[in-house]
Amino acid sequence: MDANAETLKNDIKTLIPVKTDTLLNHLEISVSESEKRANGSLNLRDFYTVYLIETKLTDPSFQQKLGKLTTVWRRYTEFEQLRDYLEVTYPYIVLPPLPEKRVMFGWQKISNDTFDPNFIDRRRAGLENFFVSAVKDYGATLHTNLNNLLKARSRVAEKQYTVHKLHANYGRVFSEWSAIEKEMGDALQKTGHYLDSLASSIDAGLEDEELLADQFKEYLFFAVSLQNVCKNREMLQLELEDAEENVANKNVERTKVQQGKTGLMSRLFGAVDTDEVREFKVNLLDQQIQEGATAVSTTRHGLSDFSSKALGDIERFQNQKVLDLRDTLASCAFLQLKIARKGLQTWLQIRDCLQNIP
Amino acid sequence: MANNTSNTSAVLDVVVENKEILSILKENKDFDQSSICSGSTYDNSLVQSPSLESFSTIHDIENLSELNMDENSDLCVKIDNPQKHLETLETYITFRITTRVARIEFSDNEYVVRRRYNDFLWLRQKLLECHPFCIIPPLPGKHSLMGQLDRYSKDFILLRMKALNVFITRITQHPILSCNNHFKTFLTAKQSDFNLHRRQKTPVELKVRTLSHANSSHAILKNRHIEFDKIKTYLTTLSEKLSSIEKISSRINKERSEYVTELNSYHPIFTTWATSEPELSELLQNIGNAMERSSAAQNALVQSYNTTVSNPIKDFLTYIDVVQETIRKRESYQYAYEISMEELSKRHSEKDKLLKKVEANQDNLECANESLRSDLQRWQLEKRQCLKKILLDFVNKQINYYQATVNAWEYVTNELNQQNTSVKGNSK
Repeated sequence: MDANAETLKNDIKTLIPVKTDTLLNHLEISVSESEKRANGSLNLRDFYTVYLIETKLTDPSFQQKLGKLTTVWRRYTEFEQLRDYLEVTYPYIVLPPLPEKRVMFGWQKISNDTFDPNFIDRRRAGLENFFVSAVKDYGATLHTNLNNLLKARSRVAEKQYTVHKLHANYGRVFSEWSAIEKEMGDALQKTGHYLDSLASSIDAGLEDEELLADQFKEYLFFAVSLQNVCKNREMLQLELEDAEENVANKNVERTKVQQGKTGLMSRLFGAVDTDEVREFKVNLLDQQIQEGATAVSTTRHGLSDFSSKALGDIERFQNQKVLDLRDTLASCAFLQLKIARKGLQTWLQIRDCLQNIP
Repeated sequence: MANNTSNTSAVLDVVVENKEILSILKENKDFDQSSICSGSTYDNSLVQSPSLESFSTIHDIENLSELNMDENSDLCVKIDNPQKHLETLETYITFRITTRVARIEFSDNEYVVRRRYNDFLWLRQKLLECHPFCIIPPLPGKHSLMGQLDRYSKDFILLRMKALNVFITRITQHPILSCNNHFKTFLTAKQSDFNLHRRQKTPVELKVRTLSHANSSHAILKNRHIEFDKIKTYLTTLSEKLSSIEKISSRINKERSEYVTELNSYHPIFTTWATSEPELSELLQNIGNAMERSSAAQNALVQSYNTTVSNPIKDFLTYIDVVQETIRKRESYQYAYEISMEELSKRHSEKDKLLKKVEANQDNLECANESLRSDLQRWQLEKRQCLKKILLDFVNKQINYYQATVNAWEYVTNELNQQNTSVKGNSK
């Protein structure tokens, strides 16, 4: 078990973005099948379910950075270990939940058996959801943060602008004052000019800042895109559920017809199907069930395909985002430093002037 | 007991006499020269000092350098240690006045006395009477904007104390005023002696003359005196300019205050965002922190406005008003001279008597002109130093703010530069 956990962790490290050197590989990830296995000696008969995780390399240039890509069977407890690891390493991330370990909130129709095929299938889908809902939460968070940032920034920029521009009023007064002074005149005149320059210097700085704000806006819209991808996946999910429900309904109907239970209308009018009619109906339903099952399979594959492609592109997006935003944020810091230095320089020059007053 | 023929109320006298008896009884009890402890008494009054303990010494005043105290000069006066006194008829505050002096007229080298605001009013009045054409520095107002409501608030008392220090320093630095006898008494006399001195009558002649001339100060002069007129115009313009500067500064300060509020809503967003971005977390935190530091520095700038800009400028404007008033006083002398000249030309028969009057007035006028002229010259120097200091204080506060901001952002950019160089090193 420990060896497995170790392998799990190592595999995870290749999947989770690492800070500096390795970019994430372009992978497709899907949890496509499940199997029942037995553990230990015949005495214990410890059964458990494993799920198949398939990864496909879509970006050939990353081949050398990956180890051997294999498909891997993981059981639920190993997913738990992954989640625990993520919880410890990224404590600030709102981790999506794993599907339930045991049947919770069950009722008559829902079997308590964790080996029940329906339960297993739902869990399989849930495990895939685990990867994707993490993404959806992130998209919403990014959107909120950028929104707040842009709003607050524009208010700050306005105040910064006003404060600077008001200093121009000093310029006029100091100039007039210098006209009536003898020894102080020179220093006052220069002070007035410096204050004027302080007032006009803010324009360039704020123009530069607008460009940076645009870069943040771009990622605000990216966050919307991210959320749209999740919405699209949800729609496919719904399609799948509809298709599955359709098959389930058809199955129920078939059983009824088989057992000679007819619809309400027929019962009312007392008609009973002949054997021939019954067999005809059953065959029809069988055909429909067959078609439905195919539809389910197609939809399920479509969903799986979509998920892994989406996750792949999302990783790409994340890496690009880190590069872009780091750039933008760094530029913000340098710009603020530049503005502050200019202010400091101006006031130091004013001080020099004033200190020359005899 | 001196039989006072004063026309003040008998009730007041009784109380004062009461004080004197008790002080005679306590004659042998010297004033505690090193009165750092608040237990020192001021005659018989009840001293309430616990609430004022916290600002007992001058070191609690911000900007000690404002007081321009030159400890090496031959006369140095310091005002501190306010104390509240509760008496039957009134409550009032006294201040401790410490004088260090090395002049022949003073018998000792160090004096410590306690005086109250009214004593300062008396001193100023005396100086006005003795030197009508010197520019006597203004005193802080009797009341604040809130009327009598906050007379005993810590802020009001501290502000008043600071202003009194400025007042006294200006007098000690004045070549004529610092040698005035009343001033010497004010600094050195023990309470009982001082009270006696205060109640002395001023020579009626002197009083009357200043009064009547003050009334005629609105009269129009025949001949304008160009020199003094120029100064009047200059002072009016200077007042205007300083007033403008104060208004502009006040407006900027208000905007800055709002700027700080916006910044305080802005920087937490970076910290919040950092929690959902593992790779960008450090950079976002750094930026948030730098913004917070800058905001705090700017807030300090905002808070310093009153003490650095508003109060000093307002104080100086009152000083300018005093100068204007003194110039107007001179005009009343000129008026008297001109009137008497007119009279002379009209009444030839009383020529001799009138001639003497004219000459006397002319002499007075010349003296007034000279005295005022020389004190104005001295005042111009003082004005320059005072305004230079106000401007430098204002500029230094700005520099502090900008320096703190530069430091904050340099931290972030240095981190970034370090990371860039290390990445370049790795990729080689």
